[in-house]
Amino acid sequence: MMEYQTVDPGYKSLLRVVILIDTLLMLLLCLLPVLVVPAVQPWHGAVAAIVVIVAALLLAVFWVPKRFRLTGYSVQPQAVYFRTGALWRVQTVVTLNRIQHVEITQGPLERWLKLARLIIYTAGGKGSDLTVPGLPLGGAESIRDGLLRDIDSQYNETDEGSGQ
Amino acid sequence: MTTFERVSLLALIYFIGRTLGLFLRHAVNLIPLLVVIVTGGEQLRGVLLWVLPIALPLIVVLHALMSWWFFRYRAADQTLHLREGILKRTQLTLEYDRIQQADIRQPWYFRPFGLAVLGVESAGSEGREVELAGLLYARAESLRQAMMMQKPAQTDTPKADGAQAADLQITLPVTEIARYGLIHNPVLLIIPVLAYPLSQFDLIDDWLLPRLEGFVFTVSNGGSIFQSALLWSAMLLLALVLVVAISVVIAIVRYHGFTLSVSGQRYQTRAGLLTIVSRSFQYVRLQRLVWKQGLVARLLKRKGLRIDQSGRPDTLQQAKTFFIPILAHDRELELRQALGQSEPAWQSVHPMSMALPWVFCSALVVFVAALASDWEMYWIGVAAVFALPLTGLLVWAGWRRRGVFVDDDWLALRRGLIGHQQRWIPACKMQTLSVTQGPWLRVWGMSALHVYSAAGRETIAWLPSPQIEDLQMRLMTRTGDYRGRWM
Repeated sequence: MMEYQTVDPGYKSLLRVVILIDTLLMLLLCLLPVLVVPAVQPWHGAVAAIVVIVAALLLAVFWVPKRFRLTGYSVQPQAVYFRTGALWRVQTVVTLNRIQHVEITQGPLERWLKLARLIIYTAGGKGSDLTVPGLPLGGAESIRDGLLRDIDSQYNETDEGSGQ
Repeated sequence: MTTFERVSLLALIYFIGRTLGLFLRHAVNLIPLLVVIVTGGEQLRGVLLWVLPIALPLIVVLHALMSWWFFRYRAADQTLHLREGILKRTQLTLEYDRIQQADIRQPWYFRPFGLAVLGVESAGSEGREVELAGLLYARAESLRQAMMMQKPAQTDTPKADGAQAADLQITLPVTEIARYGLIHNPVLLIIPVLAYPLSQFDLIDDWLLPRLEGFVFTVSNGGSIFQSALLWSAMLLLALVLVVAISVVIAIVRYHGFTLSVSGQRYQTRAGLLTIVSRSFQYVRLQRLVWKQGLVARLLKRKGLRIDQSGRPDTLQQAKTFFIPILAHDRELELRQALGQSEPAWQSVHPMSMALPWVFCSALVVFVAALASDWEMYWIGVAAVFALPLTGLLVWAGWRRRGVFVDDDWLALRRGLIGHQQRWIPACKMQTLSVTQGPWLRVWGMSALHVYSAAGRETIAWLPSPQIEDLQMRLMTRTGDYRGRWM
């Protein structure tokens, strides 16, 4: 069994902030009909809001740690592995000789939490890229540099190269 | 170092065609002009009526002429350089190494002059097509030869990389092409598209209804039902025959004299009655094989093969794909051997994969019945009694045809209900391999494997988790160890 490296604990905060934002949006959705539609009583909205809040709490308390625990990556000499998902589990592998380019992105939230996302693109088209979320920026950069170094040395080993 | 050269002046016809195409695409932008014409008053209309028929063709020809003048190309040893554009100049450099597929088209209007259009597709993300029109056929052929030259150094050549022994040539006689016309019926596909404009002509109200009334009138006045019915079925049959005949004619125009020739790494097809298209690619570019057999094809015992290269296969635009329309069984076996396809030992997926589709399909039927009968218990019951076994049977038939096969060279999938389809991907050309498992699959200890090749995604679902993980490892190792060219 392979050892997966967990991502930065800040990933948990990131997930929770996203849940918080979604919850606020949902609460707004609960509030709107109460204000706009006369037939909707305030307590309808209240019940809906409670459901939303309970669901958000459950996600934040139980789902987030589990998701964090099961999210990990592993860079091997031949391939990069990544797994994620608490309920819908995904485990992805990309071999180094198929990597087209590597990208590091930071959204505003990620910048605030000092996290970065590493995206590895292949020629497989939509959905075929491998995204490792919740990495510290320096960590993401060092993974990228290591990957590019490995690809370079692989490329030099063979006269032909891998075609790309 | 050769210099840039122009294509033959006769290519002007091609450029006019291209200008017209461009013009049509941008015609929407000219709609404001219509407003000017409509509101411009009598005098302006009179002037425009004279100017437009003279000016428009003049503009088109002038544009084409200038496009031709500024279109220059230079074919070096390893690269093709193009310069084009009247105001916005573009320079394009294309390495032969990156060319996925090269076509030589001999349009009917070029054939008397011995000219051809050379079209190449590169592996870039935009899949931009590059066309060189008005080359002498021999020149186009030699250029393509240079483009399709394989690099000499091939370190390892496993079966899936083209260690074919024998060369192969398949020619389809006109009877086979006619059969393809029966299998592939583009006219039937056009009918729904035509239905709307036709409906604008009030055909049903003005033509069909009076005749139907006439029919009812004849019958009610003692005319023979049998005679009228016969007349009507004969007319329907005639319409069907006409539709099929048109399809056959289209097939013959397109695929007349179809020849597939395989020599080592190089695959080439050549076909066409008026416009002859010859298309070739190298075996290393192969990313996926799709064998297809629809209902009619199954009755005729024929199959079709599409060979996908990098990039999304444009299934709608069949004109650009490497396609062998129809193959009898013995030919199919020969080609399979040439392509290095293994003898598949299909493995079924877990029978539980049938559960959800069965439940959903049945529920859908019952729901529709409930809506139609206004939630009457009796009809809901009847629908359930019929839907459950029937959809069960269909789902089961689909499951029986589903199959997976993996060996060192290929990953193959098969599916179908009425028709039949097989997809083969070279095991050493995987891009991303992803194992997924939702809660429902986890209950049964199953997983799914999503395989991304450069030609698209395939999914193998409902195999035991250990086997799926093993499959992923196997394909990963095969791809990772592969040091040859993959595209």
